[in-house]
Amino acid sequence: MPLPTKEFPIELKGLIKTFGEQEVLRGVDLMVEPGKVTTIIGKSGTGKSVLLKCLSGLMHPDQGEVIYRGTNLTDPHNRDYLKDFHKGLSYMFQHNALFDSLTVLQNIALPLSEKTRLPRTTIQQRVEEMVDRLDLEQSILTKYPSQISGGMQKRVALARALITEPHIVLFDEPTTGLDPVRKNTVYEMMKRYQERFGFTLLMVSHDIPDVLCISDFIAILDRGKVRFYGTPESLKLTQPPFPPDANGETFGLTNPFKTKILAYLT
Amino acid sequence: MISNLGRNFLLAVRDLGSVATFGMSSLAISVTRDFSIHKVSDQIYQIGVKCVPLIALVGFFTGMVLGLQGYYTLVRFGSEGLLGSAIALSLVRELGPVLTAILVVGQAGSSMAAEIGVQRNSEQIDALETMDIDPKGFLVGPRILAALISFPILTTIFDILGIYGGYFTGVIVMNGDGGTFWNGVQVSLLWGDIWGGYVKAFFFGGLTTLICCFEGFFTHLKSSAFGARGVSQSATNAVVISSITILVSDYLITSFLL
Repeated sequence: MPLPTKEFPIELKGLIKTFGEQEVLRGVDLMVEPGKVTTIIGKSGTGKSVLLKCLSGLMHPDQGEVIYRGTNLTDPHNRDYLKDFHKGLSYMFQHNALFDSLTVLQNIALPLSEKTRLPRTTIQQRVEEMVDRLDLEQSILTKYPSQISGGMQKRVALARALITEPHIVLFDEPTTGLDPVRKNTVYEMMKRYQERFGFTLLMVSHDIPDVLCISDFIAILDRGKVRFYGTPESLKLTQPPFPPDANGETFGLTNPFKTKILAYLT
Repeated sequence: MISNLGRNFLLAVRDLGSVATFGMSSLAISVTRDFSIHKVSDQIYQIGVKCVPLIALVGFFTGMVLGLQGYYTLVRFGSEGLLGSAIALSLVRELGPVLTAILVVGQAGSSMAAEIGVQRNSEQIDALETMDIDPKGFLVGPRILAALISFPILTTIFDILGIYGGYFTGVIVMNGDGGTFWNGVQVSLLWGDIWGGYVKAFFFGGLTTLICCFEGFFTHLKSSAFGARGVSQSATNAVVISSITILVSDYLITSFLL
């Protein structure tokens, strides 16, 4: 199968994932539009990160399909297709997952030095270019992740995710642990680079309403299912937007959460 | 009680199978698809070079103790001339490979398990998988290869310094005869003894490194401890299981070699 391109959507059909007796994903259906920013929001423990991990191949769903270019990637017979799919996919972890014993240069260069036969000088050149594009200083290349700030670590992790020029980038709560100013900087940066590079961006977050500003599509995951999918604007047209459940919560989302969304939209 | 015993035995067999599969696949990836001389040499530095001072110190003092004890024991029978032979044989055949392996496990093995455990907990291993880099080839294989090279060299250092330690106490301190000492070493040591010591060092290196890497790699699957405590338990288990494995396999290898 050719490597992922920007033209094709990723379709999730009836994904189920269970841990012991706890069913985390209970039949997730979702269409991730190509070249767009899709954000999955929802309370903690609703299976957002599990969904990303199922998509990235870090976890295998118990049931359901991940369809790309007409191929079901969860089918064990399509392992080669899945491998090719992953070559065009990058994952940015919640806590960056940078190698603390490697320098920033070695971290960013890792996917190229391990998976390609490019000469060292070419790899160094590409890393330096990427660092420039992400507005990082060249002087940090010789430093270790622990020697740079949290915001810089985020950008280094983003540089590592983008160095292979992926077509799909998955972000797992990219602003965890950052202050509100830095959060907005990271979101602004993600949107800017998504537009510049044109990749498909799928993000998990609960930063409401900040993520609504940069998202083309919103999916609300609650109790293992996608309860809403659409543009941020279409949230307003969903009337009544969120009927409360027996606990007075809306799709499992507390009222302040709903208020925040509505405050943003009105 | 019998059913518990049976269950534990089956679990032990399953774990043994998992360790063996883990080791073989790590080695296979490292020597074929993902071989990197740079990574192996880096690990030789971590496992081998960094342990040299410890091995040299303990080796020399072990030899000194052997020299002292051996001299006082042999002199009772008027056989102090056999001191060189006794020290050389006991070091090269047994003490050298066993003590070297236990010391390296204590220094490098525990840090290996802890390092990989931290990498597992901080999602660095997951990050490798998403980059399509096999974590076993990246983290485990080079360490096993480095251990297979480092352990015999470290054992040689231990043996040589141990013999010199024995010479120091047996000849210089106790006024023994130097010529008799070295003649005993030369005459008694056969190629089979040296070869046997290397076979042990080679096996100990592979087995202990495999156990330490396995403990760290699967630190997240421990049901008894999580997070930092899980990593600390992995490091402890790595040292304890490796030390037991060294002693048990030493007996097995010796019985095959003799």
